[in-house]
Amino acid sequence: MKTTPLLPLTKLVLVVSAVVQVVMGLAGFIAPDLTRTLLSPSTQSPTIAIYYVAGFYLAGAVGAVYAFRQNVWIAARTYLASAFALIVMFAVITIAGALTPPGLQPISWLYVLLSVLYLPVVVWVWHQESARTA
Amino acid sequence: MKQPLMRWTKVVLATSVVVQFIFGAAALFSQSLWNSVFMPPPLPPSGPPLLLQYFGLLFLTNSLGAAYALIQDNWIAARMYLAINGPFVALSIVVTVLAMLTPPGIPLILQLYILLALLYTPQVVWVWRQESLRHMP
Repeated sequence: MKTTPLLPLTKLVLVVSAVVQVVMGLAGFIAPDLTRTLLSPSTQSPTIAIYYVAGFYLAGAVGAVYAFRQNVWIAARTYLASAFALIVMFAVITIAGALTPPGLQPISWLYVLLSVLYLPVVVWVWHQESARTA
Repeated sequence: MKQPLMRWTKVVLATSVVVQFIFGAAALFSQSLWNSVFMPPPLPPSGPPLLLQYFGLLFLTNSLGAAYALIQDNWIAARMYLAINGPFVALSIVVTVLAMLTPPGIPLILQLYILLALLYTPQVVWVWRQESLRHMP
């Protein structure tokens, strides 16, 4: 496998991943009540659960930044494989939850929209980078 | 960076796969098991089901990431995974210790999680150092 630098779009995907997760992670740690009422799909989440999920987000942001800094496809794909699988499954259960009474908070639809935009871009950069480094 | 991973690095990754798969499957498929064994009282019950599904998927995809790093058998891939999981485990220790110090405290099993995390984190640091030395240009 060649170690060519990442495509600009791949870097952009990693930057967006890092920024979104930093925002969600910091919100969870600094303002768990705000997260529960505004950012979480459900308003019934215990605070400790919000902290653990915030920890996941911050660790994911570290991963995205680290992949960006390494600037090689092996690192980026290891990050993107997990992120892609997670977001596909999050989108599925969020849609299922939103369509099942009593539904979810309206912000859930924004998350679904962002996922629908993010996932094809990940597929596209995966194809492009795989072809370049084959 | 073409050398295969050290055996101990593979053990660390395999442990990550198994442990996170167990947590993920429990959270995803059995709310009662999760709330009675994995996160029992005095912690508030983890709910609604959607939250547990999110938890389960976070663990399962982390497990998948560890498996993918293991299959690639390459230090760049492995360190990418460890760079995510190391901070997560460290943050989880902090969150759990804070919960322990806050009434009503935490159940015994969470103290076991802290112990396991305290055993795991130095392994990550150790394999990171060893593999970095092996892969120095």
